[in-house]
Amino acid sequence: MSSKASERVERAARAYLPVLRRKVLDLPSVYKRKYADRLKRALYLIDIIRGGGEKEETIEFKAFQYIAQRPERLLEVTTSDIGPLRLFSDALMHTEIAEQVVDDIVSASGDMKRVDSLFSGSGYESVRIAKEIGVGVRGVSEDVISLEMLVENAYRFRVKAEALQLSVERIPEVDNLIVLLSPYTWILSPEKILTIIAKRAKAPFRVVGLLPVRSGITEPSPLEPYLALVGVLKTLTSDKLKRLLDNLFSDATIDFKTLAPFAFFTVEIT
Amino acid sequence: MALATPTQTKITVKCPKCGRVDEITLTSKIVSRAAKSAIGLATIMELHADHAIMIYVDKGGNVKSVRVYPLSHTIIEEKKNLIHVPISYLEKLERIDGFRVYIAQADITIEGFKEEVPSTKILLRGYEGETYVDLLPKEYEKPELKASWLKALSKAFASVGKKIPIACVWRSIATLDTVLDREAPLYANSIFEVLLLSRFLRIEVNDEELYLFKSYADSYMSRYPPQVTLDELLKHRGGMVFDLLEGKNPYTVYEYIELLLALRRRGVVSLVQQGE
Repeated sequence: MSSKASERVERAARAYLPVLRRKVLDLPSVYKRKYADRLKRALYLIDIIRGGGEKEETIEFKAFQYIAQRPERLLEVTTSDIGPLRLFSDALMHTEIAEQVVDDIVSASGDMKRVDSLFSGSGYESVRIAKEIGVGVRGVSEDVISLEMLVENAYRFRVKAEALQLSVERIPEVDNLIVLLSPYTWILSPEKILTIIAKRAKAPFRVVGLLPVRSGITEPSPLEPYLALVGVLKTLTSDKLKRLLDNLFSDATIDFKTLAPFAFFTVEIT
Repeated sequence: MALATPTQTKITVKCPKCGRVDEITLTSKIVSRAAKSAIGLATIMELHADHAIMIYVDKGGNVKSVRVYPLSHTIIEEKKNLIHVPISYLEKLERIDGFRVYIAQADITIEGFKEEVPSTKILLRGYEGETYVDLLPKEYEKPELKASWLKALSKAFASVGKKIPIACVWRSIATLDTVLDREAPLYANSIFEVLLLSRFLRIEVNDEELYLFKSYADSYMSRYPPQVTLDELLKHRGGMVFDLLEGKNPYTVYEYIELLLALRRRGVVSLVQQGE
């Protein structure tokens, strides 16, 4: 997996921050009253991150253009209705970084018997992994339309699929290949979801994840203003996420890479 | 003026609107239904290009009247409570030998069987409330798959109830025939709802979502059959779903509805319900 692919996501997020700022300031007062804290945090982050830069005609740039233009819909995202993040997720999962992540996972997961796709926006990445390694996929999500997208993708790839509409707290026992890749997972607390996975995962298993991180405590990532609008209060630093994984999965083999603005990790217990 | 000639178990009917002559086989079941009916008539449906005819037959196999309806004519407007689908339609089906749909809200039954159903044959049933779909499949393998489709179809009939245009009832059975041995997706009822309401659903395209979707549409669409294209769907923007599906075989109809639903999930299209 190359840093070039992740840098393109970062540049795309950064390029549309001025648009996001303008759109936030132009929001009707009803949103400004209802979501004052989120908007204040988003504007604060936009102001301390260097935004702008050249725009490109790639999926990543179009995806961030799409969400930057509709902050009012980001404000209304909930875990059971992720709204514009479905299309955004589906688009990002068709980019080079997603392709590379999928290839990396497939090459190391030939022994897995099932893919447990947790909170995938469209399930595209999980279904592709399942197809490549020749197993079925089980989608767990609170957003029923996301589950329909997973089933729809599974039908297209002729992969057997099962769908469970459950909240993070009710994640069932998971095993084999546990996938946390989609932008849907960005809006969930990583501490919470990883703690629940650590409790419910049944060996042998492999957890693969791609989560947004910031480089240092005082160095926010350009993804964070978008996440602030959705209600994410903090983004872990790369070091903190690594420590969290070490603590939760103390007996596991952990592979951890930082490719700003993401950390890509594999946690394995055989 | 309709012209009808009973010849043993067959009648010929000339459409008062387009002049098409249909030869219809009268099963003993249709005749006995007429005998038992309070008004002494059985109703048979025939679909023509842009209209349908309802043929009313008495217990002697005589055609008493033929009425023309637009295809958007809904079943609630049809006062008779049993409509027969002719055998010639059923002969086009690969996996289904007969069906019966009862729509509780409209208190109407629509049925068609290739032949008399022996009492030893088992009909599979899916139901939602009092609405049900009975099916006589050619093969009984994987009954759980078939049952899940019947459940989905019943749910769709129950949810759209009185608004179903007659032509769409047949189209839903023909579509069911193409997918019957596959696993039903969790949104299978939505597929039939779109089909049953296709006369009333207008396709609206949201340009900003389409702009983003188009950036990866080639990859996405490569997993659809070649006859299903985004361009064809976009040609019908502002038009009705029925027109998009018109003239396409049941498998292609199914795939286009899958595509419509996929695009709706992504916000690329909205299906806006119009008045009848």
